[in-house]
Amino acid sequence: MASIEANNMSLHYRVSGHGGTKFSGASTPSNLIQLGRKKYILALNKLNFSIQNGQRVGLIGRNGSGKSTLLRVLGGIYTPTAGQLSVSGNVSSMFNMNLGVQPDASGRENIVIRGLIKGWRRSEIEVRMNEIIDFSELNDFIDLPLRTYSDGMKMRLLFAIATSFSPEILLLDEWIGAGDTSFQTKAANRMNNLVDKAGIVVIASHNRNLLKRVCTRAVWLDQGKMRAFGEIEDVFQKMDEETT
Amino acid sequence: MPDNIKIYKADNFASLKPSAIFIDLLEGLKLWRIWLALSWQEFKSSYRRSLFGVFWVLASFTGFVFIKLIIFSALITTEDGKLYNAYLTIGLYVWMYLVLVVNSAPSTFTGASGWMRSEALPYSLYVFKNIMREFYNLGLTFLVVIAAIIYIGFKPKIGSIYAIPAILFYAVNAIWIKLLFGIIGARFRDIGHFVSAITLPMMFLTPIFWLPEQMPGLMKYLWWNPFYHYIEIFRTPILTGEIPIISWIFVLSLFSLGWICLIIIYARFSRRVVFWL
Repeated sequence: MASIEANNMSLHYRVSGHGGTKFSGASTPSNLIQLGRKKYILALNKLNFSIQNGQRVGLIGRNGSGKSTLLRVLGGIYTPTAGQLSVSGNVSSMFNMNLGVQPDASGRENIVIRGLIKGWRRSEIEVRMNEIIDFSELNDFIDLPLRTYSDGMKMRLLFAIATSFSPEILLLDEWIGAGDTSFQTKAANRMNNLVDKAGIVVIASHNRNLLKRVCTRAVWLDQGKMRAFGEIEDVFQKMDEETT
Repeated sequence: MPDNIKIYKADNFASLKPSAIFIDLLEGLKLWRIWLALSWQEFKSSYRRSLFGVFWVLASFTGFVFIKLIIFSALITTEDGKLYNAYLTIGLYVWMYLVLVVNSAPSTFTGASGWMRSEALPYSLYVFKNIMREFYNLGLTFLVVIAAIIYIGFKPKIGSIYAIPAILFYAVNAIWIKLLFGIIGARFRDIGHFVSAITLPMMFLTPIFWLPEQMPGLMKYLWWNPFYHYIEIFRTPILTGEIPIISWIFVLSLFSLGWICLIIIYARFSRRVVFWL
């Protein structure tokens, strides 16, 4: 049974390798903090939420509101600097099409590497190989190096790998940036199947239509703080009322 | 499924237990399929689009060794020419490998930033990957050493087998070097430049082209040069058939010191590395 629970979870980090310019003061966002000459970003500020089985959660908010950071904390890449987070279930993630791939290796070789990272055995990868290639619609491109792929092709391949083997928790960051409508429908169906098997999907996106189609709930982040968490329609309504 | 629950606490960010590094290493070792595949991919892709591929490794090292042999054999006349030529060849071989290990250490994590920001994998995985990749080079250039030894006409002693533990030690020793300098090098980017700036002068301050007996005054200070002892543990058994006990004590002491630093630094700072990338 997959679940995610955050208690007073915060994350801040120091901005290193930066000159001594002062922040302007009045217009400085509340999540930028200056202590002496040191500058910090309070990327997540005391978040409390719990996500249960079968929930599809959209992360909404402006650029720099902490959506990607929150996904990375859920994926275990960043450790919270205050509070606590517990994640139960196998996590599979897709954060950035250009990270975690070998550009000079072929699509097939990248499937093997990503499969190994997800903890699959070679034999399991071989069994899944054709299914992944079919779903990603890459055909003969699968034997060419990844650097020859378009963004849409890379996205399709990585999505196919991330959702293969039905992970219990799927984290997606702006995955819809590329890909045509027919693939989007296919992808949405695949995610629905995954959630039906008692999983959790968390998606960060600016695409309202997509989120409304895929997600049931939403988290609204604003400068690292959680402004709302609930039914997706309600959260969007609240966001529209309070930002205009 | 209780084994699936991961709890991320803020206490873990501030400071981990000293055992954290060993848990990381153990988890990294379990993922041997990944680092083996990645290291091989990287080794292949660095030569992938070139016509002669991996022969460039051999060609550059062969050229280097033979030119040094021609020049330095003419400059330095010792009683036993064959012994000196073997000394030079083996010294250069180990030196080239050590420089590869040390120079790439500060970029262990900055070079893997894409992976580290997209997958929660143990840090040691990137270390094992780089150690393997450098071992492919070490194995490949050994062919040149064999060719050079035959060309020189030097007959290695039976005691050469004592050079095998040295090779194994190089691999194990590289773990602390890459983890420690990888973490420090991610925070302080000057470390990488500093290390590559000192390796060239160090080449001449290490007894590779010259014998320690030729510079007794200078050796009083240069004895403390770690590169000297790292080379000795491999070179001496092949040349004389003896085990250089003192050099082994030196490198094992440095190994212990390095591990103590690493345990402390890892426990204190490892959770922050990903923000430094």
